[in-house]
Amino acid sequence: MFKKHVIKTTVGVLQRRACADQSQRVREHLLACKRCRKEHDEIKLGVNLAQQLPLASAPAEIWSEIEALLDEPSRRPVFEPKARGLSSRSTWYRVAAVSAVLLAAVVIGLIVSSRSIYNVPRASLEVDSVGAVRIGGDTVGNKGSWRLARPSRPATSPRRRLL
Amino acid sequence: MPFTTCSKPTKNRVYTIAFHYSGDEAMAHDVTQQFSLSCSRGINQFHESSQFTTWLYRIVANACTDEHRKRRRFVPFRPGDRGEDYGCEGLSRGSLSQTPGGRFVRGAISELTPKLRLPILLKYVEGLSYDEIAESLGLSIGTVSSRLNRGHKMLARKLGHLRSEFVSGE
Repeated sequence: MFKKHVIKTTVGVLQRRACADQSQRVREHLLACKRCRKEHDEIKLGVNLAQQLPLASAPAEIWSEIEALLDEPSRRPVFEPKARGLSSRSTWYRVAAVSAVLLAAVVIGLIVSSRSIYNVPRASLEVDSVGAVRIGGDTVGNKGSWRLARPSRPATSPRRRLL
Repeated sequence: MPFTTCSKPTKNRVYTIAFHYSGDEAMAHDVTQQFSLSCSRGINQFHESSQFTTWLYRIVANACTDEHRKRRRFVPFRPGDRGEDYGCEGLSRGSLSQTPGGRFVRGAISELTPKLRLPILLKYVEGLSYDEIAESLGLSIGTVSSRLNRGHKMLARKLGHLRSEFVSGE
């Protein structure tokens, strides 16, 4: 009923990489399955065509040229990447990077300055020499007397407690 | 120096990969030079954990990709001149062992995307195994297998008219 297609293993069979058991299974499947047979024929043609790829032999002088190039240490290698000046591409990258940094600095500056505008001075609590209490420069009352309390001594010294 | 110690067949195979990858004799020349320089400079980076040939083919693959990227920025001078010599009658200086249909195959391979082209070249020019191709290109075996499969199918679709010539009974 449901058959497992063998498209993935068909190359292995063609190139004799598959084991005998697997090859047999693929052959049997190919007899029954039209779709896999079509794929198999296509890949077989591709493999046969690729095997016709001709070998090229390089011109003789190329090797002597290369060996001369390698033997000559003083000569600058032809393919060494040259230290180029600013190419147009890198210039654009740099311009974009610098403008992004400047933009970020301006935005941060604006945010900081806008916060300082709305900054409310802190309320301060002061007691003048008369004893009047001032909050933020306004006198809020002068009834009673204000004194700085002295730190109270402990009732018992630690030494006495130990004894 | 590792390059000078390479045998001539190895050097020729490097050149063949570069030639089929680029389709252009001048670019193959440049890639071969780049390969030799990279070999001599990077020999200290070779670790014994991988095979020497795998390391070499990785350099070839990188040199091909770099040269391809470099040349992509240039516009061909003549219309129709895309840096591929496949339309020309053979090579001017090097020799190419021609087989029937070989020229069509070269043309079809040049039309594959670089991703599909390199595994095909390493497989059929160098005869590397899937494991070796995977190690050379820094890919998984599954990816190599899938790219080869797609490459075979593309070749078959492009050169379907040669079916009678190349497919015989198994």
